[in-house]
Amino acid sequence: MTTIDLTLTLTSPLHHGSGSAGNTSLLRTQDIVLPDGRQAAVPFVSGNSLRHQLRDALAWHTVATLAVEPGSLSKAAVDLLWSGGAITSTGSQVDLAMARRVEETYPALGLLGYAAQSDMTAGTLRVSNLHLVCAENAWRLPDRLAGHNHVSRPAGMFRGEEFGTRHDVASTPVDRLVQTAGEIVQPGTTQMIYDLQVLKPGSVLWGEISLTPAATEQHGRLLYAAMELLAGDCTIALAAKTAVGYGRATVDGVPYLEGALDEWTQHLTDNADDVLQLIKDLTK
Amino acid sequence: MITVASGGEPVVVTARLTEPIVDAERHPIMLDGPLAWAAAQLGMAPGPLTPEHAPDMPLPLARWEDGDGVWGWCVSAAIYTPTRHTAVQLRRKPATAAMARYAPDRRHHLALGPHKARDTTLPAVWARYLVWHALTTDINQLADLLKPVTHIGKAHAAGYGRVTTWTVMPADAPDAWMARPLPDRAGILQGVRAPYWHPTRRHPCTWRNP
Repeated sequence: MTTIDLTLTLTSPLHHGSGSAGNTSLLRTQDIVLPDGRQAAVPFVSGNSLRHQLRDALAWHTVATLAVEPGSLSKAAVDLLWSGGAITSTGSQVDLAMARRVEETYPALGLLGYAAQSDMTAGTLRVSNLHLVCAENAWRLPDRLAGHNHVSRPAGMFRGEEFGTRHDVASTPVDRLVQTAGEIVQPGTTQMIYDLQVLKPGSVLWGEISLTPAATEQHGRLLYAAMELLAGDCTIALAAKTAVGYGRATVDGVPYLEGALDEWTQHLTDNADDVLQLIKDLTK
Repeated sequence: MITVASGGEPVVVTARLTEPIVDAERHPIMLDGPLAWAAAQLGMAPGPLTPEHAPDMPLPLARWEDGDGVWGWCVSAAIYTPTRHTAVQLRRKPATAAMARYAPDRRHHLALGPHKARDTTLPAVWARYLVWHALTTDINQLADLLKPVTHIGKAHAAGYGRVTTWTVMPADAPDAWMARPLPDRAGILQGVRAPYWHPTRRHPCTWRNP
């Protein structure tokens, strides 16, 4: 079984949201029970979120490699590539031939799992939650992190708050320009300061990515290719607000398999028509 | 009358957990489910799973029979102490940016249809250990078959129900495995062996306590 053990060190604040209170976006936490029975709520990044990033990276790479024309895919096809698809019909027959065709033609779906027509196929990829290296999580961290300096410090030490500003154009040159154009327009924007609960830069997260024993050799190589797409330079952008610089981290433990990404790209290029036809057939 | 059809040594199987188990309390947590899954992953399935037929994996557990042709594996339901009831959220955000570029549609409704946005909250429970009593026919094979079982419960692909260690220890409680649903005509329909959800596995059962 392949297991990739990742350690991430934040280089910018991280926000993984869980609703809001007033103007403050709250940080997502996991309720945990400590070995002595005490309980705590500790910030984390969900495995579901990281798993989606791998799917997202492979999807964008696929459409770029196949030179998919804008407007040429159905919504169901986009949903299959980026979100794993959905059950769209009923039936009690499992299409084994289609499952084999998926593995031969576009094994990314077999790696990540997918739903199409009346079938749901489990993927062989498992992504753990990313846990903060802190005192509350000490009991479940791997041995190699047992001596980390952060293990003696409570999670609260790593939490912080950031803010952003949304500017209002009322009473600004932009507003005056609109008025001189003769339009009776009242700008509908509102000046706002919003707050975000964050994990501070320097916080360390740990998690693992693994494959089940049913993973094919192709799934293994594809996982390396996906990791190269996502964090090939050993940096990653995690969770929310990445467009404005949040969630940057350096990653230790990203595996590199020479040629894995090139092989996958070549496979897509060589089988472009078959891949597109398969996606069409799965989502018709 | 439940009888053990093949001999086996009593053992206690323990899983140590580091994540909450999702949707743990709706059904008993039966060990032959993950064991059968592991056997299937390792290519031990004797045939395909169909709506009419579920293949039985060759598990290293003794079998019980009820005398009417119903049988199952000699393993108890999981015994555990919930230390906290909690919930986990799983989000599914529609790929609207990609849809805008690659799909010709004018709109995407976020609240309707198979491709809608979902924010699913699932019940979860914290337990430090899960413990099962079983009769095994081969303790080493049982320990080996548990190795690929890295998670228990739903949402395992997203990391929940993570098992860090398995231990299998000889025990001296030969009837302890009977703490599970067993056939009883006065009972309610339940699965008797893996895959528990399969219609062919359902029989009237009641819970036994040895």
